[in-house]
Amino acid sequence: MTKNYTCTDYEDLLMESLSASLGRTEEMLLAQHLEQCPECRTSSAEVRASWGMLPELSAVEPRPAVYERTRAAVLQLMATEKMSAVDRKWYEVSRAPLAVLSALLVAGATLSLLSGLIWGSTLPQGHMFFCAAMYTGLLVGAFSWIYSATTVNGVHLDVAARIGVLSLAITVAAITACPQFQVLALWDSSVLGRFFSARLDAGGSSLVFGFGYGLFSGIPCRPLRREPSRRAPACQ
Amino acid sequence: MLPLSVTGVVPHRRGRVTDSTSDEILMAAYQAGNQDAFGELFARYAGRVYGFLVRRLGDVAVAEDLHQEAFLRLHRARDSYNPERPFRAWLFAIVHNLVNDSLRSRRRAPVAELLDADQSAHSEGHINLEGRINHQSPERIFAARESARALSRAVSALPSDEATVLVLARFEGLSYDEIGSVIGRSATAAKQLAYRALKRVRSELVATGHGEACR
Repeated sequence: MTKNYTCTDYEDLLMESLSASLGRTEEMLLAQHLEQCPECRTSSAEVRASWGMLPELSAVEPRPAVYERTRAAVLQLMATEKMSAVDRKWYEVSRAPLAVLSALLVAGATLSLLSGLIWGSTLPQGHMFFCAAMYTGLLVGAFSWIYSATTVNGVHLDVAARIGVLSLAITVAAITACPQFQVLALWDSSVLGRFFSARLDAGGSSLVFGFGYGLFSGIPCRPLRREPSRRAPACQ
Repeated sequence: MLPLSVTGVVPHRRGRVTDSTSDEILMAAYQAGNQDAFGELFARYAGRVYGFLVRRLGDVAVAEDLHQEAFLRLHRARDSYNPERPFRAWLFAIVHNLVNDSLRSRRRAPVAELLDADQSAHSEGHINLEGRINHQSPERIFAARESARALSRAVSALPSDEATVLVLARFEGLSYDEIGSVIGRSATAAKQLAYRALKRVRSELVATGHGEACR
């Protein structure tokens, strides 16, 4: 079935003809139409004339410095991204043990709370206070650690991690103060304990021990909370 | 050597790049972080992108500025490239959008200074017209320069899509299917834009006395 071409179709054919992408049959059709249609013939001449003039815009060459500048900018951006990618990879890996540790803490805290409630019920009132503080601190610390392993909209919840460490420090202090654990007795008999007791009294010495012990537990966690550095692209 | 199938094997970061490697394979390798692949693509297209920018904008200084931005955009958008799609159509779509952004931000008509050797400090490398006309009389050289400047001005004054279609069809040898994908239209629409653009250019040249009306 033969297609009925309109003048617009022949305009399309003309453009393909100029790009040398027109088949022989269609070239003949176009030529026949141009012989018969004066308007298309005139338009075709105009279009061909413009097409023929366009190469006057050719032979464009930039200064070598333009190429070098562009290439250097992209390579610099690639190098920057590569370094960021290494940081990001380490960060992703570091989050795995943090999450596992958080899960263990939650499990441990839950078990401690359950067994502590049973065990605590047999203790005098004063001891219950320390135990409650210990369990609460442990739970808050554990959940904070979970949050610290979380990223929301690309922002690492670093503040939560700090709260977690602080809660752990409080927990450790509570454990230390609780007579049932006898930890303070060991501290008081040590060289450092005697040193601080002589200068700060027994209460101050206990505070130093609890705070120092709490900080110590937070220090090894510091690399795990490391965020990838955010570098601005060198070239905008 | 990198695999010659686009979809077959994922190019390795350190895969070897050769002259015969297709643009699409090179781009896939570039996506995977192969720096040599970028180098080869850059060698192939740095000049073409620059030529496109100069012809589209008629302004050498702006073209030089945008050249760097074009390749930075290419780099940032590399993850969105689909190797099933022709690379050069994707590349020129980026450059076309860049030109549009630039024209929009400048909010002024581009200045045609392509052939203005007297005003441009580094124009010697930009146009090769001298080689064709240096044995002719000064009057003819001047006339040829004026004609080319008028042409550059006429192309720069075209609507953005029309100018892009014209430059890509005439100088880059893209098919109208590819050109259509560059400007986000059909191949038929691209042909019509090219047709209209050529007629506009002709009218402009006739109006400024650089062409004769066709009968």
